[in-house]
Amino acid sequence: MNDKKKFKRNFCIIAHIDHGKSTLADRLIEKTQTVSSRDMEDQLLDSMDLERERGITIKLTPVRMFYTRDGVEYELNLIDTPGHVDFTYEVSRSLRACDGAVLVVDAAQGVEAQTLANVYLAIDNDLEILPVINKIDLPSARPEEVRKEIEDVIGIDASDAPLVSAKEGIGIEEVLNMIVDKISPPKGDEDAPLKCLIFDSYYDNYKGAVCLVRVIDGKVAAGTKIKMMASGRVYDCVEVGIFNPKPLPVNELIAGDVGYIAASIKAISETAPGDTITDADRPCAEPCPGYKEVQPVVYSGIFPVDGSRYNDLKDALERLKLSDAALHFEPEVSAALGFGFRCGFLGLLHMEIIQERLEREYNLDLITTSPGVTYKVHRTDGTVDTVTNPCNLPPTTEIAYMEEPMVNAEIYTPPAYIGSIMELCQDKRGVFEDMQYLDASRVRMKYRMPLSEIVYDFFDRLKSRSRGYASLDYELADYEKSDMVKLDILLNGEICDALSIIIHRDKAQSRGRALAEKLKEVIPRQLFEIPIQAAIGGKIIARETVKAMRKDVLAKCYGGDVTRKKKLLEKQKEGKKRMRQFGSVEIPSEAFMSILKLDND
Amino acid sequence: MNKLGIYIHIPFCNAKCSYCDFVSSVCGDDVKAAYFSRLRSDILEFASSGKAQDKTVDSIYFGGGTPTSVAEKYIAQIMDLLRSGFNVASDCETTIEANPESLTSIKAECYASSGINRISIGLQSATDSLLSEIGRIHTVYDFIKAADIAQSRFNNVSADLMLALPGQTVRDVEKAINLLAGRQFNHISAYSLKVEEGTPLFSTGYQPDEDYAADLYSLTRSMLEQYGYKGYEVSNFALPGYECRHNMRYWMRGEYLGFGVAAHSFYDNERYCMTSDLKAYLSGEGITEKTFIQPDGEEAAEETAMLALRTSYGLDLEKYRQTFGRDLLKDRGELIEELTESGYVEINNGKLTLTDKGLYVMNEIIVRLVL
Repeated sequence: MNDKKKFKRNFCIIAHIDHGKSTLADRLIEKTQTVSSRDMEDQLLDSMDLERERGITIKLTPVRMFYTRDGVEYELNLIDTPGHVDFTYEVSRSLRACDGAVLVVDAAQGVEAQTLANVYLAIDNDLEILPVINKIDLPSARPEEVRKEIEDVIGIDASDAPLVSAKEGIGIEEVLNMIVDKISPPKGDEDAPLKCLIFDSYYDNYKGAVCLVRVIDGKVAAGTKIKMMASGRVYDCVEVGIFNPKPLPVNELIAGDVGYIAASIKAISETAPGDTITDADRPCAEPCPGYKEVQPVVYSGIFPVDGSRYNDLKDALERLKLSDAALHFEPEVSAALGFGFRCGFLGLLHMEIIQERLEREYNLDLITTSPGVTYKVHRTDGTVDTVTNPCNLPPTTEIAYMEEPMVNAEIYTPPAYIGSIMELCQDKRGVFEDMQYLDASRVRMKYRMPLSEIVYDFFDRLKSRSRGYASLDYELADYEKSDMVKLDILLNGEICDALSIIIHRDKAQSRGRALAEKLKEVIPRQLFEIPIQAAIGGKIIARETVKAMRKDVLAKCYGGDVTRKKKLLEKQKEGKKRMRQFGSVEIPSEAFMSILKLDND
Repeated sequence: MNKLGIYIHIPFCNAKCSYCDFVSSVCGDDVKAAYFSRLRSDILEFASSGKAQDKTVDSIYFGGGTPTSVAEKYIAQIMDLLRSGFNVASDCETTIEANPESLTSIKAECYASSGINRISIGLQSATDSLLSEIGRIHTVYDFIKAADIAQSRFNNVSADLMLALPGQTVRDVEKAINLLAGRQFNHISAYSLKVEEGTPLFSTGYQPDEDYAADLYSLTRSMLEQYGYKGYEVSNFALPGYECRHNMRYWMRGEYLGFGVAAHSFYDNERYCMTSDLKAYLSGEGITEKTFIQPDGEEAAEETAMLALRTSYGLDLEKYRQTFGRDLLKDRGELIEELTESGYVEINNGKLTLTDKGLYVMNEIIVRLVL
């Protein structure tokens, strides 16, 4: 038995987006003939359409491969990791399931922000790091410079990093050899009490929530009574298996194995990544370290454009929640937008993905309110509230002060854009901390910045200011006292709740004006004049007016063609369905969407 | 005896105006001959069916296109046919639309002797450069000559104006109204330009400014009222006793028969129209759409309100309730109150009418009130 473990390697691949992680994974699978070439599709691991389209990995899928060398068969378990900062926690969980990491660096692009963030995570998790220089087939490839960059910037030995072109299939064998030679076989005692790390889970219509696990110690099989150590819930294990890459049931999983456990678990929320599974009858002493509950970072309201589709939206969110434990939502009622949900996301990408899946997979038209963050509101009576929805902010008189979440941001850019990016960061209330030339063509800038500024159009503006060259990485730091105010928009004298935002006092004035101006453009003229006002804490700071409509008439009758007139009026009536009634004001749903996309670069 | 109106469509012009969306084109004589032959046989067929035996025709309207652009004998032939096939009242209002460049004394003489007693001339604008810009092939002087011809032979002469043309000034509208009112035109129509898809004007991207169009409209209304004209419908103004009977028929849901390509009819509770494709019409195609409208049904109710509210007579609320079972005062009371307060509607003697301010935004009001 112990012999078998010696020939097992659990590893992952880490890389910056676009550096070729998925392609390399595909080549490894191909080379080890895990999937017949008939079934081979590009980027096999990215199972969702969205992932394939964007070339990013959201969901993790482990694959077991067999590689034979010198007559010995090795079992290689590839655990894929998501490549985006929103999913840092998920990355760290899947890293814990590995013993080594293949680090893919683009031979032309060199080391990038995301690469670094994930490498540090891997180092923190005591993983052996195996650098690989990919895309050497590119004309702009500069493998030797990149080799040096890896050593200088990351500080690991890259002298024998294989030169690879995953696209062309060059150097794949070397990568496999390196995995076998350099990554240590799993440790762990299969006779000890069961200890499994859940590093991900997914929802299966027949099996319920399925846990993806790395068995640290002990063994588990169908019939084992398992227990989630964080929640204390107990289940009967129904099936265990491995990924081939499709799920394949096996008799048991033992220490060192990577596979899945199905136990008729109803909801994905009961299978928290990072939690430890043990044997309920013979529990292990300590859970795996590092478990934490994932907290949303970005919030926004999601409403159906057609108010009558509230229940469809509710069903869709509930179904998404089954497979995405990080999605949080609760019902919200808005005077302007009607019934909808306040949703919490891991970050902006996560938010975008959820919105897109709702629209695409569930065919919903959505209005999404401005993304916001969680504020700590210290009341004058000494209590502290956490507020994610501007509407829940207590009156100014009851607020002693507020704190907002800060991030440590790292921006990587060619030196040409430093000035323009510094300007942007300053405008975004960033505090400069450090700048370092990584080489002649790359600079790393460090800023401490409010998260609320990052979630509001920072990324787009960074990209436009650097012609797409700059990249951003950030991690949540802490909370900081900040002079935040609530900016309200009043239509016809009434606060339109869906448009309220929490914003820094210095910016409230200009944003208020911009919002009022934009609203004037997008609200069509109606029978009555509509005053639009922006107010901070009840004080009006900007005013615009949508004048009363003056012409809405079919002047001529075309030789008694009454039908044509009727059709035009019917169409006009139909158009009202896409309007939101707010008091006596009708607001087209499109107006909300364009206002919420307001950018000021 | 029930009253009936007849509309004859003449789909020919000497030139096509840049804003025109009507079924009309510039054609040769052979096409015209073929068209009138089909038109005559349609009229004859209907007349000989006896369906209109018990109805009196008290309005006939030749519209287009440009009816004056075809040889006058065609018009006279149609008139003969109508008078022999239908019970045409002795005081039947019989109108022909005319363009200044093609109305001659000979034509006018012929129209008058065939029984036509009302003529409507298209002026559109009182500025030559603007006329040529929108594709009109006449000058203001041509119009004055045509007006002389018309007014010397007819006691009921109307003219058309357009509002919110590209580059049109307040001065142009004033000039046009002064010209028409000064010459005592009995009736004036002032249509606000609507840029229709597919017209040359549409492709220029021109869209009238809402406020400017509204300003010109209220200028027109107030000037004409000062001259003694009554705005009896949103776009139509008349000296006392000269309201267009045929026009009012449309708004009061009276019956009318349309003959010719793209002509619309409302007859026996059915609305239908002829094909709008001239070629298809000439090769024998006829009615394309036909809808039965239940006389006391929802559609009739909507039509009644939407048409009546265009006129200064308004909607008789009590009659409306009795006919359609809709009590607007009860069902839409709050809205009516709101609209009254802000000066969009009035109720006088149980009749709901749109005010001057309300007329020009009637779509929104109608949609809210009755649809």
